[in-house]
Amino acid sequence: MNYHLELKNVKKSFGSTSIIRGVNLNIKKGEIHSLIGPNGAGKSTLYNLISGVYKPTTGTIKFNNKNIENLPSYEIYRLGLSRSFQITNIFPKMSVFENIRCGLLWSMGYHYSTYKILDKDKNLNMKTNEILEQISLSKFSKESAGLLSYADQRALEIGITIAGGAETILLDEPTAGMSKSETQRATKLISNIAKNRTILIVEHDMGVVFDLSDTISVLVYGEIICSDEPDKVKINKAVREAYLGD
Amino acid sequence: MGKEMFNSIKLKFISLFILILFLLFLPYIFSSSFALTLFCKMGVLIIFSVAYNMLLGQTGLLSFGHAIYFGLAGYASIHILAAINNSYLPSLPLVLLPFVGAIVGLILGVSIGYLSTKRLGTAFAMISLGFCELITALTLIFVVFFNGEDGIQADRVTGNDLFGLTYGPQSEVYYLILFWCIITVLIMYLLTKTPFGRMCNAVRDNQQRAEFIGYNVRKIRWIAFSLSATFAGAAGSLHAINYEHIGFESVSLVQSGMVLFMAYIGGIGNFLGPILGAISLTYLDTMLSDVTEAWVLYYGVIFVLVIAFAPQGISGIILMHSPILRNNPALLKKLITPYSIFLVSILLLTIGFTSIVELIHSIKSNHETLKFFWLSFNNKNILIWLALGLIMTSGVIASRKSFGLVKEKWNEVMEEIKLSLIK
Amino acid sequence: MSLEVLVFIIFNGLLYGMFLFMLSSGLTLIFGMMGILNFAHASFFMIGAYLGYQISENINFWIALIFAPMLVGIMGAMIEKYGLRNIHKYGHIAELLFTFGLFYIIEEMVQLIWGKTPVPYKVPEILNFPLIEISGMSYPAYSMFRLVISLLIFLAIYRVLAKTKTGLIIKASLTNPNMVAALGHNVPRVFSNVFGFGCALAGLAGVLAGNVIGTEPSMALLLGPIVFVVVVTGGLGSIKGALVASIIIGLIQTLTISMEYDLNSLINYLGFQIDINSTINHFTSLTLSQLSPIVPYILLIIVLIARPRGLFGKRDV
Repeated sequence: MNYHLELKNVKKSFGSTSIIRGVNLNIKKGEIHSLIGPNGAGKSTLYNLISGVYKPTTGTIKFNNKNIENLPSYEIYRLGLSRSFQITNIFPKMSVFENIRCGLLWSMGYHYSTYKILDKDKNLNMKTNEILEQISLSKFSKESAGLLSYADQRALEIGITIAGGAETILLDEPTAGMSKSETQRATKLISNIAKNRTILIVEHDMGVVFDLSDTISVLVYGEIICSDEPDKVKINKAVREAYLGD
Repeated sequence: MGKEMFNSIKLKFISLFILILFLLFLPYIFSSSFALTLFCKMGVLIIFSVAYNMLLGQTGLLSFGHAIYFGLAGYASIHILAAINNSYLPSLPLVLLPFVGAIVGLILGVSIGYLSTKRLGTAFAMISLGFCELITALTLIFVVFFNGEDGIQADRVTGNDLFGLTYGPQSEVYYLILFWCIITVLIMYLLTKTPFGRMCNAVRDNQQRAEFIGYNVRKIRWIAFSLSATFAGAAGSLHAINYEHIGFESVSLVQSGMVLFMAYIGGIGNFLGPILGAISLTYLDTMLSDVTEAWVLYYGVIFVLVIAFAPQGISGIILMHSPILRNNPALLKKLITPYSIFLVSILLLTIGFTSIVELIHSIKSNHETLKFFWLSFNNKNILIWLALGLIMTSGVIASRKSFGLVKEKWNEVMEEIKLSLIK
Repeated sequence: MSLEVLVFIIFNGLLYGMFLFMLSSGLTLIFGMMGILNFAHASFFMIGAYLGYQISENINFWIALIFAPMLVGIMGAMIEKYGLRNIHKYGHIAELLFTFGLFYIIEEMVQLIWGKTPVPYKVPEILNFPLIEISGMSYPAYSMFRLVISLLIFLAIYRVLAKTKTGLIIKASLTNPNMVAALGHNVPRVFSNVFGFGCALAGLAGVLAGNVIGTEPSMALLLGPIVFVVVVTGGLGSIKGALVASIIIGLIQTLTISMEYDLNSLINYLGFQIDINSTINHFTSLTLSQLSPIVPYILLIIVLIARPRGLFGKRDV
């Protein structure tokens, strides 16, 4: 069977410490797939491997049947795989509107153009406003992004991530550090953007994880110990021992 | 919304039109040759500093070597002029010469930029410094092309140019510079509105994020570097035409530092900043260098103070107030008192500092008395030293205190704005 | 080239190299620990030279040798504490710009106080004689004295870094600046001290070299870039690297400056001839000694592009 995103025996070590010790992970098209695991299990490293920040020491990563383990980040993005970050990663000095519009540029075919004036493109600006509507930040569109509240910055981050229309999204702890009501809003936003998309999500809030996911994979010490439907993961013995702590 | 936007664009066009009209008649309003020389210098440096800010402010790359493109394009232009003077080359309309300078800048920018944009931050700055020193040293070594410390000269009057202009009188050079200034600044402004321009800002703000929206950040830096060098080249060419001479100092660190000061003091965070910086510093430069020998010192002090206390520059400070203006202009009233206290303390500090510097200077140059504004001091009188010391110290203390006050009031106002936004 | 001449050149190369080391080692520490590439480092060297001159004039050279570097050190520590520390929050580029402004201010201040022309700073009488003479080449006693002092300085820094607690903290923050703060040391104070110490070293180099190379307002501008070359080539925060880089650059500079070979001689050797009146002769007749000023800058560019961690550095610049 061909998976949408397929990691085979991926290993990564820094010097003599190996962080990822042979991960096999298959993600089906259209599912919401959660990646959970204790701190230091290697979740962020795994994300960085998939998105091209690091190159794996060994192993292959296939996206839509194309090997991507040696591609730079921007080319992986251009294939349709976009990601958010654990630490808010926006363009703080630019306006909220500009933040989203930048996210749209590549997919709208603007590339490095030095002669097209952006304000003239009604279609582009309309799309930008649609996304702002979707993440409910329309009213702040002119403010500079660095002035937004934390939760709004996280929403903006998701907005930038999805703006380019990528069909696969990696989300890194999208609700970390949020209050309960903010978490609810974020969860709603995630399930909203999940339509027609494949989502891989790293999350600590188990409520969010079991609410949203079609599949859950558990990463412990650089290895996937279980990858299954939520109900089955809940009763998996290895998971309970290693992670849920019973 | 649409109508509002249309109106604001119309307003922009009208004000631009009025501005150009004003600039066209400027030589008739201030017709002294001193004023004309000043305007010409300003025009050249405006192009140069806006070009420089494309790199520093827009893309976040600090270069200590931007004079290379300015100066070498200048050398190329002077050589072409000299060749025309000696009839080695057929006469070329002078108005096209900056175009040649721009091409020289572009070629240099593409090649040096390819190497330097591999790095960023401090390493990038150091590489640019290395290139600057390298080229400066080469101008002194390759005597045949650069003619060492003397530099080279040429005559800009090469026969009739378009519209019967000869460029003999300075006013005609003024119109040449004005023409190029408007064209290049307009192009550079429009560049900020393009996808490339936006992505420059994005790379400056957050390089990792820029990569994850599909852009090769090094390519952006490289394009920015090359274009910035191109416009610097055009400026260098105009500089050469204006002075009919170019020397090694125009490629040196001193020239690079000059454009850095202009852009930074004017404010690198927005497009108008470097223009403001070029105008005000060129003016100060011309005025102060006649009155005092220590003007570079004042320059340096202003620069350091701006970095420490107002890194957003003159234009940045002005624009900081736009959120207040947009949301609740009444709050501006709260700021008037702290601002005026602060200005008075700064004035005190300035008077104290400059008069002490000038006193020292007058002793060094063996003058008995110092004329300062309308006052005359005897520099041997210890009381005067004490008084000035007191003025300066109180200026320092008052400035520190009132700066705190300004900050406090400012934060209060910003809090209120934020609160009203959340609602 | 005879053997005597070669020995003489190597001696001078070592002398120049050790001078570069004293001048740059302080910046190596500062840059490695705080990430501040102090543009004004050579300016502190210049202040050292001027203070050395002034104190020698008014009191004597030996007092100058002790107190001038101390004064420069205090000045440096003050600038770190009241200036740089406030700018830290704006990032390394702002710090670099600040020191760039400082460089201008110091140059102007020096001109204001001591004038634009060189001051007559002389080698102390007691050391002003040729110590050894080998077949017509004389080795001045003062040069030997400088060489010995700079060697002592190297040994002292090395010992302090290796054996003392301060050295341990400095070494730890050279490799990982963020960790040391987490361990609860008073990092700002260590920074001030190291900054002051680094400036004092530059000041000492100024006192010792000002009377040989000439004490004038442009000396900072002339030596500034070479300091960067040493620091970058040696590697971020590596004292050993700074030493090796200094000596290599010292030797290269001294060797190339005494070589009158040009491309023409190579072309002649290969059996061809360049027309002396042709344009190309202007380039091929340039001798190595004429090209020697550009060697350090080329080195700086190549190291930064190809190997930004330098010879012995553990991190990239």
